[in-house]
Amino acid sequence: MSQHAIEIKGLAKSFGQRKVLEDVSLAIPAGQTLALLGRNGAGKSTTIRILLGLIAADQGSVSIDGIDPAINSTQVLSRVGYLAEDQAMYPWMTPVELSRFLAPFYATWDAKLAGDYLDRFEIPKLTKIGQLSKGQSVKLGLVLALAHRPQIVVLDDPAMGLDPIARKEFNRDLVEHLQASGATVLYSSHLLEEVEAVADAVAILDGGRIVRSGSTESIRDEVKQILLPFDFALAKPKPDGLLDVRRFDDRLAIVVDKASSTIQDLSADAVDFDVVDLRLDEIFEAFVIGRTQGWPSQPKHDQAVA
Amino acid sequence: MKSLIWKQWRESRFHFYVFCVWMLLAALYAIAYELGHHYRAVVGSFSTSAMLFSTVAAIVLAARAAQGERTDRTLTFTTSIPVSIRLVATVRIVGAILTLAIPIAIGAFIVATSLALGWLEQATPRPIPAEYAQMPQRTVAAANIALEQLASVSCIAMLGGVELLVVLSLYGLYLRSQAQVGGLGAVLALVVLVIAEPMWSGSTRWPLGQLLYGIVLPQSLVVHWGYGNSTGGYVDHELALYRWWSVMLALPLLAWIAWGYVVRYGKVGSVDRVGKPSRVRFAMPALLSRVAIPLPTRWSALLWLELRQSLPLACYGLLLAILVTVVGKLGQTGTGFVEAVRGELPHSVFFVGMLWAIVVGSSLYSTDLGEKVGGFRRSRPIPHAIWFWNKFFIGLAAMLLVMDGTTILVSWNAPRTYSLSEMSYAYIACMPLLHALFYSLAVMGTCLFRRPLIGGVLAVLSYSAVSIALTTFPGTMQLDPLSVYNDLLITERNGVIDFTQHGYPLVYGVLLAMAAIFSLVSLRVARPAI
Repeated sequence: MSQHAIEIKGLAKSFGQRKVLEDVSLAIPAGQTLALLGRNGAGKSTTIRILLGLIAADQGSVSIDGIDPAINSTQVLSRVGYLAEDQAMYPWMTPVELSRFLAPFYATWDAKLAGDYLDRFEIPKLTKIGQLSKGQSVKLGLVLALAHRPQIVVLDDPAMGLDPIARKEFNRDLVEHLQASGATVLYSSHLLEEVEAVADAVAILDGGRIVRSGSTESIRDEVKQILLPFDFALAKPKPDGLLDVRRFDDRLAIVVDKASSTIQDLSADAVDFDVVDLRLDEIFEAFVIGRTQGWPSQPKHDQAVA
Repeated sequence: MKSLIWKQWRESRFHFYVFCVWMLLAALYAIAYELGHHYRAVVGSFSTSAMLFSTVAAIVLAARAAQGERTDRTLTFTTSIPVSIRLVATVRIVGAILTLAIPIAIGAFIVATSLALGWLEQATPRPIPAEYAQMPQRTVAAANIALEQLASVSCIAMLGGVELLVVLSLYGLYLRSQAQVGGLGAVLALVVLVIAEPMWSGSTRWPLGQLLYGIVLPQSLVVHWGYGNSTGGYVDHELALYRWWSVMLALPLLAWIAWGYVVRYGKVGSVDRVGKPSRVRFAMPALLSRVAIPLPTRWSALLWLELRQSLPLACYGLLLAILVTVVGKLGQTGTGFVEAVRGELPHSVFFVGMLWAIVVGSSLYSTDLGEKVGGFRRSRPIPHAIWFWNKFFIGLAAMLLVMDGTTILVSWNAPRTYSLSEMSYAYIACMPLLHALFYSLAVMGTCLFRRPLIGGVLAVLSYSAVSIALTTFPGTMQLDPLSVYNDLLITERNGVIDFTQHGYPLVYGVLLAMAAIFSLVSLRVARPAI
């Protein structure tokens, strides 16, 4: 039996000729909050939809709380708290009615908890959902995702479309709940500053592949920006794990994964260099739009003569 | 301007092609039917087809004209283009009008060619009722008279359609979706059908009244009378005397309404508010939220959900049928009014029910299949089959119980005059099944295309096509469900109630089987694409 709350192995999915996911593997231990990061169209929502059994994978296997969603998606959905991006609910119902309607579908639904959340998030209980603001609507979605006390929560870009203040408020409420409940959380987003505060681990999805995953702290420790003299780099080959290169006058700013070995090499060469810690958004940027073509190379002999 | 016209053409060319094919087939059918039966009634036949076409086309085109850019979420982009929004709106509405009118003109041209070449004959115009003669017994009209009759009915169909189109397009701007425009269009079409008739009741005509009424309601300038015998049926028609004056005077009125659309397009509500709730002037209090209705099981929860959606819809249909009946009986005075309404209600529910079954079927499924609410529904632990069948049967039961059930209850003991409109065993045996067929057809169309309007139109067209095919040939015309119903009703009025006669078991058995097949197909196509 798997010890992971969520496990994805070798997932592949195409829509027509377009490959959306290729060999995606991911494992989330129970109690961990993993941020699935990726640009728009990177395959985050497709991964989540496969995870919940809403669409079928072409290849690979998925297990969520030990259940295969391709076989029993209803059981998965009854155990998971799910909040989708830009989600709409029955506009003619009130939050109270929707809460009552959903209760019989979840064995663990806690009506009192739902009522408490509605109060805490200041959602008008007797106003029709169609008349709620965007922020209230997103918070209502969160209430409905959490009211059955799920041990696994999947949040697919939930704060998309909210203004910055509403996003912060939403995340604050979310953090409060997550810290209290100890649930396993898969949080997909492309807004890095949002997830940095809540994520224990990070997986970066780019072009349908997981390009990096690990705990947030380890990634921060291992991915560094190094500033070194341009002339020194001229004589050296590209370091392993190079993600991004930029030149600033006579200095070169490089971002390197598994930076410790590069730092050791530089120290051994007694070169003057600086190491800069990066924020999660800078690390993400290096992985998805970093360019290594700027690494200087010695001009060839005939070019030098010319 | 050229770019706007090109864009409009690209947007509406599919509708244009489909409509052209529709009217082409309608014209060819009218010609072929006339060549086969020699009723001398090709103008009436073409006119009824053109009227049905103009009504459906007007609703479809108005939904696009009013809500197309909001549905596609292109309105904000369009308003950002450096061109007058009024010009954009003008091109949209003119494009829609041409998309409606040109197919009718093409159909009319084909029929006119057949008449002009002498392939077909048209009977002389219908005399006043007192001296009425069957069309095959009437003399053949001169070519110029036949062509004028054809031109008249074609113009009336065009103007009637254009009026519905511009009115719906204008009021559709205040609505929130194409489906709502479609629903309003269906109601308006029904209302027009009822209020177009008063000028033709009785044996005397009031030409000046017809002229004035025809300006406001072009459809009232022509009336159709259906006749049938054992070998087939035909449609006779009668035209208002000053119809061309009405047509000319209606044009400025239509232009004025269209201008109303142009000046409001893109400005009704704010572009920024697209997709957000409109300002609510009056909202019903959320009474049901205050009552803690126990929903112990998922079945009870789904039952409650579907009843909340389907019951109000079905009640609106019943109200509409009652309204139609009341308007039709307004001339009735004295204490017999209520009884007259009770007596006539089955006839109204008979045809309102067909329309409303489509409205209920397509409305119930459209939201739950959409991306937003549909996405929410699919992400809950509700098995697909349970959701589908619950919705299907609750919606159907609500529709049949509220419309047919109430009508049977109300009209069963109404005083009898033995008119064909009154309640009968034939009604009980046929109408609920026929309404169920329309409901399942609309559900299938909506599940298939994910658009309620297309689902509704598909239901109307597919039933019409089958009905036309059946009634075209003497050997099959008695198998038309409505013919079976009429035959059963006439037999019942003569004192015999026998549902083994007139092909009832076969025809309505097939009809029931079709409804079941449509529901199974719907279950399959409603599954999310995985």
